[in-house]
Amino acid sequence: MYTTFPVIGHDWAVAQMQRAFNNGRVRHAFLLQGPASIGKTTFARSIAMALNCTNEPKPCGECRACRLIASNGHPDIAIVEAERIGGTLKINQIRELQRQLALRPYEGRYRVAILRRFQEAQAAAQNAILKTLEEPVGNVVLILTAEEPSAILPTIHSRCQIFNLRPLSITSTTDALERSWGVERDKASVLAHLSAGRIGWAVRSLEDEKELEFRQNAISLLEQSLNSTRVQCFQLVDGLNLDKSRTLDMLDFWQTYWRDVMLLAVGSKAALTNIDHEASLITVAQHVGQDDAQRALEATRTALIQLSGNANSRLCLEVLMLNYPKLN
Amino acid sequence: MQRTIFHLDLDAFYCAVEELHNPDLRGQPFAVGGSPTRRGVVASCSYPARMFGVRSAMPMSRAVQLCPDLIIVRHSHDEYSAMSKRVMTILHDTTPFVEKLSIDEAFLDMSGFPGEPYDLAVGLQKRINEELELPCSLGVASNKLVAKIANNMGKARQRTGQPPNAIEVVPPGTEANYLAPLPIRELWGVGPKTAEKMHEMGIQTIGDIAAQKEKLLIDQFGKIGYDLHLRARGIDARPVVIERPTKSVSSEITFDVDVNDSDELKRSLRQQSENVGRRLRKSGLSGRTVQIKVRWEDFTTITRQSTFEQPSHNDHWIYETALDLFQHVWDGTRRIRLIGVGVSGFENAARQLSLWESDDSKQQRHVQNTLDDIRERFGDDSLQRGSDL
Amino acid sequence: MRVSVLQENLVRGLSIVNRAVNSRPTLPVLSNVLLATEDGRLKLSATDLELSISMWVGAKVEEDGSVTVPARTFYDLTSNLSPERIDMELNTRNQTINLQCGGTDTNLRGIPAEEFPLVPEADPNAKIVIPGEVLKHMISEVAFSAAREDNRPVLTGIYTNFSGNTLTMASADGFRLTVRKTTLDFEVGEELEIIIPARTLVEIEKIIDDEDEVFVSVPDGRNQIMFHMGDIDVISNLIEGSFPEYERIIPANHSTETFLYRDEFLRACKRSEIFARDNSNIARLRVEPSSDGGPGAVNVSAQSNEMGDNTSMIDATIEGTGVEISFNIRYLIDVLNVLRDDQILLETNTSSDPGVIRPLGRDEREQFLYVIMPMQVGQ
Repeated sequence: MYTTFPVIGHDWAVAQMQRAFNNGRVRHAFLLQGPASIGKTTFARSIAMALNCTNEPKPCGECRACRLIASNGHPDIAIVEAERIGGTLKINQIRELQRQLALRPYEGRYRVAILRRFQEAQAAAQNAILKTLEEPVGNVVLILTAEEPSAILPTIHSRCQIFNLRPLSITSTTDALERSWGVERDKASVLAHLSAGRIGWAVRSLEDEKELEFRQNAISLLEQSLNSTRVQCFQLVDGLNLDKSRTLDMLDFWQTYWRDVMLLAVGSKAALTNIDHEASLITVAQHVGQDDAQRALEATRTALIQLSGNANSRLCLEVLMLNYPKLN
Repeated sequence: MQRTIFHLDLDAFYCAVEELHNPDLRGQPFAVGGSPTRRGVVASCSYPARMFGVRSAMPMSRAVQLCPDLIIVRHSHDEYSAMSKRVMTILHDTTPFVEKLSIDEAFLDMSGFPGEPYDLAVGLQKRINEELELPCSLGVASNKLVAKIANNMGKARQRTGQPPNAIEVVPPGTEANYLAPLPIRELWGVGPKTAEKMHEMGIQTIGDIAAQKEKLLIDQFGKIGYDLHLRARGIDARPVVIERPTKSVSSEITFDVDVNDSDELKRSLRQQSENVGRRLRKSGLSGRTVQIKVRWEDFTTITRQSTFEQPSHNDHWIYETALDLFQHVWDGTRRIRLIGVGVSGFENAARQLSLWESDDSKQQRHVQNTLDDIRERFGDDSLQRGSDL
Repeated sequence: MRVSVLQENLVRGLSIVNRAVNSRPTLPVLSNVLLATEDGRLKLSATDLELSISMWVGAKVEEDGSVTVPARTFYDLTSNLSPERIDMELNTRNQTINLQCGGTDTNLRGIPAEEFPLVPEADPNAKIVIPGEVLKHMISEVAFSAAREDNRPVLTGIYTNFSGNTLTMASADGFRLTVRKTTLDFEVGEELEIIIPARTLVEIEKIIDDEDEVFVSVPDGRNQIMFHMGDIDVISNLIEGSFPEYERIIPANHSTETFLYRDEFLRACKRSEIFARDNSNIARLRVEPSSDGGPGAVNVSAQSNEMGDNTSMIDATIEGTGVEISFNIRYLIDVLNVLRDDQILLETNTSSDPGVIRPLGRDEREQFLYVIMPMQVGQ
């Protein structure tokens, strides 16, 4: 389907949205679910553009409304999120938003609220937004994004049109990096692999070398822990000085690592994420086998969920390392 | 200032009252509570029954398994509260500083009374034994925390199949030593989760907690870690609170069979709401917060609450709010074991009338007062909603 | 952009438009003020997306252009310059504005004007024209009873209706209602019904001058109401939704009329308020008609659990039966504070029916009505 949505990947979701616009049947609330850094907010912003664009075909990406939305500067688009990743979205923020939404749009056709990482919203905040979902007023559209759907009230789910978004394919990530960010093909391909289809991370690491370094350190730490005793593991964790959001990032990388180990252990031909660690991945896969790799993958996922809740980062990491298989 | 605090507890209170009315029960294993076939629980059990392992709050069906000869006595609430009042009168006669904790339990601040604390405790116990023919146990210490634990310990020492009628004194200065060997679960504030975590850390006794670095406990448990460190050393500055104003009014029901029928759940919510509303109106109270409690079939329990600008005691308001809260937590299929409604956040019963209050709600208030009158005179079951029949 | 202005003019303009600058803006550019040349004048604009203010200042424009600069900084700077000509020049490459005034040379970094929200301009030839004094008086008497924060956002606004030759404004917070009407000198064409945020109206009241002629317009699409007066445009966004029907709340009849001197009544209420504070602000009015045809009395009393109690007896002319009724004393003080009239009339029925307050001896063109719900004590 022909579309001008400035979104990379997520073709089916974009197509569905485009159809809704073509038929003039756009819902007033959306929930975009999926892992971090795959373009949920970009998708949300593009919906806001399509709603407020003053040209054809919408979104044109050129008019004042599209440009202001792209630079987070449009007076009718509110972005609401916890003060930091791993923080809490508070009820006061929802109240303030509702005050804004009560007003007619300032210069656009619609007021659009993008509520990011809504899994971090307090129960009270979630309850408060229900009111807006239940009694939609004129020109207001709500777009929620979330990484962990289980932390969201079922009543919110039922009142939103839901899009379950997945990481992009390696090819489309590579293509996008090459086409839109001018990255050389080879480098783009490596980054696309390392990002595991999380385009947002790939772009961040283009802009900031430290991202790549951080990933490298995260993977090394993991490999080191597999060769360490219990006490040494505690020391490794003690040596870390990470806030919650960084710990979550690190676990994301560990998850990709165990996924690779699993793939190798079962002899799958699927593409590895951590292609720069292929040699050590093969060794680990030979040692631990499929079952242990799967357990480690599940433990990492559990830790991610616990940590998105209220768990203590250090305790979580210690427990996780103890649950990982040992190589010696 | 050195304080002397008593914790007084009536031994197997409901059973003791039942024995007064029916002396044949003396020495028999019996329990007060609901029927085993209808998922009743043990409200109180006699000391002979306890020898079989029967405990309060245990499902009656389980109690009967443990003790097949168990005699089950129906709960007679009015008798218990009348007797409780007489006990409290004796306590107030002893000192004005009485903090009633429940129907059968109270703290007394006996600081500055002439005589040894032990002798004072014996005197009080004797009075209750003789005037009311009720057994009771006392814990005596320099604060509420230790007095309560001492009472538990004193009673636990007497496993004879007879009411313990115990007195346990912890002399001032020995609190920490007294607590040190006890398991951590005895300490107020240590729930199953905290206990599990502490066991993982190698902490088994209250003394182990006292020996930890305060900082470590705070790091691991936050504010409660700080509190526990103080308590573990026998420190507790809480005063005996004389008036214990009602903080909330609530009503709950445990279903005979776990329920997931929407209509039945709504009906129960309405009944609990009406019950709470009526009690509020009777006490001249209005609350700003409505709370619901839901226990799922797997026994996990959740509560949800909602707070409003204006206090109210209107049944309809309580029900609508409770229903709204409930609909936010219930997926429409999960089975429910218990459902309850409560109102708290009381304010002066002065009520600011609202502009938008429709004639409907005025009418509602009038109807409500009439219904309350009828129920008051003819009992709870005298009126039912058409939808309940 | 190259432009010269007099320091006094610029500072006066900034002090007015800065009222629309929010200290916690939702977009960074909103902490800035827009400077733009327009028809040989310098236009200053600020907005918090709810309230927008523009003002035109006489200037010598040598080159057209526009930029936004941090509002507070710009004001602090210019208000401390000497009272003479300021020459401003914008470097478009780095969006930095250079100011020369006396011996002072300043460079101030700005944000491009394109990032600033569009501030529409009011219609200077609008059909609706209201004398500044009348509009100010209306707002001062109606804004106070709007809800501060409410689950129903419409109640934080002032219901505003133009119909025939009458302008009606009403506000309500759930416990009290104010209805204010004025008769205009002309007929409004089509009936117009909108809700204006109380917060912005209060700002507008401060900006209007008694002598101003205020041109009011609500352009098609009806997202905004615009006020134009002299060199100033004030624009308020409107609240979405419909205001509750308030007409049926106004009691149709009453059993007691109490005529009171506003001043005396207000002071009695303020005394009671001291004691009512820690008791839900509840104060009791006992209206006692005289038995012998002489003047009656109103007894205003309040009690505090800790401090004690207070009772004031004030003379009143009473027609009808005696009544005892309790109110949130703040709601009484609020209305007595905004009125300027010497005498007021309190109309009541029973202790659970609303009371009505009206000013006495007022120009018939300026109607005021206040409905206040009582409080009920205990059972």
